[in-house]
This record gives sequence, C-alpha cells and structure tokens, in this order.
Amino acid sequence: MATIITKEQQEKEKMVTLVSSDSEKFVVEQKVAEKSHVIKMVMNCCGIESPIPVRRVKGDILKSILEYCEKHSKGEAQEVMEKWDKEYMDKAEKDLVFFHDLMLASHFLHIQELVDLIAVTFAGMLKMKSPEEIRQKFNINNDLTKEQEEHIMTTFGWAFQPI
Amino acid sequence: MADYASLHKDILQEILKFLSFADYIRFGAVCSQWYEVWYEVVKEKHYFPYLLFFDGDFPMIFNILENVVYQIEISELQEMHCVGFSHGWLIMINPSFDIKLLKPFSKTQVNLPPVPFFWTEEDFDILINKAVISSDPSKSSNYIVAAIYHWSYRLAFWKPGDSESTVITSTFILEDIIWYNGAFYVVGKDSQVCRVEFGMNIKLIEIASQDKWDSHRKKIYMVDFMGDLLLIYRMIYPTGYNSLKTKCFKLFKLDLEENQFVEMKNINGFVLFCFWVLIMPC
Repeated sequence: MATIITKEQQEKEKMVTLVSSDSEKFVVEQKVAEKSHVIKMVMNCCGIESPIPVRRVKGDILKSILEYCEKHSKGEAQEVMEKWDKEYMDKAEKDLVFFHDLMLASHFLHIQELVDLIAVTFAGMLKMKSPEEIRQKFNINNDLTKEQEEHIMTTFGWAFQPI
Repeated sequence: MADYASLHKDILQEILKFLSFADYIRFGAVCSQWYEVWYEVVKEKHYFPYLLFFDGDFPMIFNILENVVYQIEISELQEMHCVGFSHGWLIMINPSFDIKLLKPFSKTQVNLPPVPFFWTEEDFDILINKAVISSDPSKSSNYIVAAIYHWSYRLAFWKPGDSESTVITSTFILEDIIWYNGAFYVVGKDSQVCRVEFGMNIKLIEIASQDKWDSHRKKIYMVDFMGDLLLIYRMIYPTGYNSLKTKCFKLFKLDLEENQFVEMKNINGFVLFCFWVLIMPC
C-alpha cells in the first residue's frame, strides 16, 4: 500500500546537526538552519548528512540564535513576531557580554533580520547618550586622538549640548 | 569581557543606519575605532532633515524625531543675512550684495559674484525676503538667482554674466517663490499663482488663483512634493505684539493642466518642510 507523504512532512524530516565551538550539538530542521545564509551555503554544497561545525559560535549563543531562527521560520503574524522579538531583545540586552557575542554571531552567520534587530536595539541604547555615558556603559576607553576629537567638536559641537 | 570598542566595521555600520544625526555625531566621539567608521560614512548618508530657525540672532536646529533643540554656531552668518535655502545650500547676503552659499555643518562655501540688485536710496536697508537658486552653482554656472525683496513687491533675477539684475514690480505682495519643473513660480498674498516667463521682458503669467481663504491671516509656502507643486497655507493668528501662532495647515496641489487648486486631505504619512530646512549632512 502506498503511503502518501505530504510535502510538509517531507520537509519536516530533513534535520541537520550543528556543532558549536565548544562541541555542543543541536539538531534542528533544515528550514530553521537555512535562516543563516552561511549555513545554507554549507548545506547546499556539503549536504546535511554529517554534522556542520559552527566554529566561531559558542553553545549558549548558538542555542539562542537557533531559538530565533526557529521562531522566524514559522510564518506567524507580524504583531506576534514583533512582540516576540522585543522580548527576545529585552532579555539579550540585559547581559552586555551575551549581547555582544550574539551580535558577532548573527553577523558571522549572516542572519540579516537578526543583524538588523540587534542594530536597532543597540542604536536605542545609544539614543541621547553622551560619548562618556556610552563609554561607561560599554566599558570603552577614550582613545581618540586630539585631532579626531577636535574635528568632531569644531564641526559638530552643537550635538553635545542639547537645549 | 566584551570588547565593544573593537567591533567590526561592518557591524558598526549596521548600527549607524538606525541613529539620528545627533546620536550619530556623538557616536563618532566615543573611541577611535568608532570615529573611523563615523568618518567614512559622514559624507554619504542622508538624514532626516533638521529645521533651522533663529532665536534672536542665534541659529537653532530642531528635528522632530528627536524632539530636541540644538544651538549651532554659524560664524559665517555674523555679517550676513540668511535669505533662503536651495539645493543643500544656505543662501546668505551682506549689505554690499555679496551672495555666499554655505553648507552649515561642513562649512563648505561658494562665493557668488555680487548680485547687482536694483535698489533705490530709500530701500537700501530693506532686506531680501526670500531667495532661490535654480540649480546648484557648485555643479554648473548655468543658474539663475531669484529674490523677493522691497516689502515683498519686487522680484529680481540674475544669472552669471549679467551686469545687472532684471527687476519687475508686482501689483501684489509676493509670498513665496520656487523653482519647479524648469520654471520659477510665485504665489501672491491672495493665492495668485504665477509662472515667471522670460522673454523680451519678464512677465508674471497668472495660471491659477482662489479666494477661499482671503479673510484669514495666513502665510503661503510652495513645495515640490514628489513632482507635484503644493501650496501650503499656514493659518495664523496673533497672540500679542510681534507674536503669531499657527492654527492649522491647509494643503493644495496645483493641477497645472486644469489650472486649479485641488485640496489634499492627507499626504500619506510623509512630512513636508517649508522654508528653512537643512538636509543632512551638509
């Protein structure tokens, strides 16, 4: 007797194993992994039979990224997604080490939607902040040269004193 | 520890996309890596425009997205009078009629030859109400400077090579002038819209008018809105000596085929700027 397999079921069976830099294994659907342009290209050329190493990304970050990709491969309503994205970012931005690594990983894996989401969130953190406040928040040293500082201050000094 | 100072250039550029112009400048003053990225992008990006206005003699800029006012320094303005804004340039004039174009942030300047406006003794100290330039003088010498002056009754036109400007006197008060679709258009106090025709003599050809808002106190501006010529009526009322408040705006599209005004109820989420607008970065 012939079994009818729908296209959806067929897709569902295509699973792929991803391995993080600290050797944690994640088994996800191909369409989830495909959200990363880089992984998609690897799958296209090397297939999905053997595990794919994601060398530059640690387990906790990869886990979070795959969570994002899974949610974004479901095709849910826009409002649902916006709410989910917001909660996802609210959580991420609380830990600046995690947020930093998430930013690098989304960029490295080439997940443009996530890159944009993180950039918007980051831009929000810089809004109306003075350079000194930004340095303190992100633990950055002021290593501007005199010339660089003078260039900004003489041309755009107004931006440092909102009324 | 997360090293935010050495974030990759590409990542920093992604972030820049979402910053307002003022946030963006402060971003450049954080550290040298951020400065490098800032410096590369500063010339290319177009930002949401700022409104330029004057508080006494002090130029101020305002951006509705930030809702913050900044005082900016334009030392070049000290002996000059600001009379218009065209093609990204502030148009400034001094008492000896030298015209200077300035980009207020980069401080790039272009000096135009003195425009020989037609002045009589008594109107020597009467300032120009509004000036426009037909095209960017830094790109081509084929441009015309037009100005409304003399209590808003006179129009002067001048192009490079002319020994003196050509002046016409209008029978009505001129509210605004615009270069639109290859011609100058003016609007009068009573909504007369005229095209300026250059021939043996310069003529104002009336193409449309309406009397709907005559009894109201108003200012009229003209704007090129995505290829349409719009008239913006700013209804005002006095709130005391030398102070006015805006009551509301009315918008009309000028239908140049039927020569009539078509009222617009909305502009589909766009924002219109009239008069003093700075386009970033300039």
